[in-house]
Amino acid sequence: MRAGAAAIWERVWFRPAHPLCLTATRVIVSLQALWILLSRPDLPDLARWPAEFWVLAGRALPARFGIVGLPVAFEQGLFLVLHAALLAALVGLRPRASCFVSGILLYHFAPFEEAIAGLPHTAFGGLTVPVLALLILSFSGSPRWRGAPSADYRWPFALVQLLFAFSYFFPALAKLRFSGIGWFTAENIRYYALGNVAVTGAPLASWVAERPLVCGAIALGTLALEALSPLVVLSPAAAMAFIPAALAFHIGIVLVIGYFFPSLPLLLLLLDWDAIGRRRDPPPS
Amino acid sequence: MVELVRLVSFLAFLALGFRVARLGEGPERRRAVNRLLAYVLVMSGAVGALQWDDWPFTSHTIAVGRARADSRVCATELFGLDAGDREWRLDPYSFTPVYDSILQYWLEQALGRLTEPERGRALAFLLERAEESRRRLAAGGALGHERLLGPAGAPYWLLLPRSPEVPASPYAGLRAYSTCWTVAGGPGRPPTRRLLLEARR
Repeated sequence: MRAGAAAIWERVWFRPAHPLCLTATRVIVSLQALWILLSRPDLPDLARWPAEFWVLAGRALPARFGIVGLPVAFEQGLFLVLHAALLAALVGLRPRASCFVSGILLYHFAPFEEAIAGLPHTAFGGLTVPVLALLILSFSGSPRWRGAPSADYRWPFALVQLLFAFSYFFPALAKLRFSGIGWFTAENIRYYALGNVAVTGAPLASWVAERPLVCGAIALGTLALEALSPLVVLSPAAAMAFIPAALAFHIGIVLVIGYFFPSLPLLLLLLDWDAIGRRRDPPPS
Repeated sequence: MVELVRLVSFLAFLALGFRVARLGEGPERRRAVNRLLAYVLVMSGAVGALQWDDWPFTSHTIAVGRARADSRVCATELFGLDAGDREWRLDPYSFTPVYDSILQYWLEQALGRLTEPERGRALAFLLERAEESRRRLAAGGALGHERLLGPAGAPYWLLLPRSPEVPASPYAGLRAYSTCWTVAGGPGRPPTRRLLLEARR
């Protein structure tokens, strides 16, 4: 039993992987972070907001992220450094250092958007996986261009994939905990659609709400997709099947309840980069 | 104290990572990697199972309640007031970097905790921000995620309807209503609406 668990652990985390796994991970999470930051150019401006707005957050929560009343100009300077570090990480310039600086500064800036309300949805801001991924990449070895497959290229890649899969798996656990299996019913989906239509004006909300079979299919599809998501780390085939299913899931959510998933481009992490790399660089015969 | 524990959990992650980064190839590095992997799995598993958020280790809790016909839905609607007292629905990105739904939550939860002078300062600041956004929109500019990237920008996750129309003259005030309805009643029936705040220059 113990030997079996050790073998699975070894296979999941330490089977040799092509260096492209790490390079692709670094490029994808850097691009994702840059996309979100360029979509939030006013983030440092939060430093300008008066003290009254911190009445809910208190002092300890912002301080945890280094939000300690630094001058706006200083925050803007850090924001520029963050962009430069992400660009360096993207092109592989001093990758460990640039990934570390990027990860730490993202940890500082990601909560800005919701800090005054106590981070209710910071997990959905699109920067959660990049923060952890960039730091993990800074701990692991830098991949050598066309280097031999190595366990050092596998564990960081698989860990980042798993952290991304958690953004599907944990919501399933949360639904089961707070609502039970009844969350995954046609009736619940119907009322979610009706409840959100006046808030977001989602274009297919009313159409879906009137069709119990469609609501039921959405409920069961949600359960299957979220509950099976950790398989993406165990099986490249499962990961490849997950990508189109998740894409359809997110497009459906936008159309039916009006929730956007800013981490959508991170689905690229689930491509079989190991196989792509090995096809590109076949071993000498 | 809770925030300190959360900070320590993040610092421990960094410390375990530094240990991996320092070591060259060999069994000691493998043990350090195993410890880092175990830590991330335990931390993530704990916050996921217990729904105890420790961002960036997070439970990803969203839309977890069970919707029912009698579920009550409430929203705080913010309006700018022109010189003629006409109400203009404010775009959800008017207070960027803080999104409309976050500001709604703040207004509902925080306003009552402020003294009158604090409340006056906060609302004056919001009015000024709304006016800055009005000027930008009136000049043909964009707000929030569209300011640099245009339509390619990443919107906030909650896709509230946009309100790009603004008056030509500056806002003279702000008004907010709290509006509630039930899922069964739907938006078609008149919702209950109460004035939450009004601020003027």
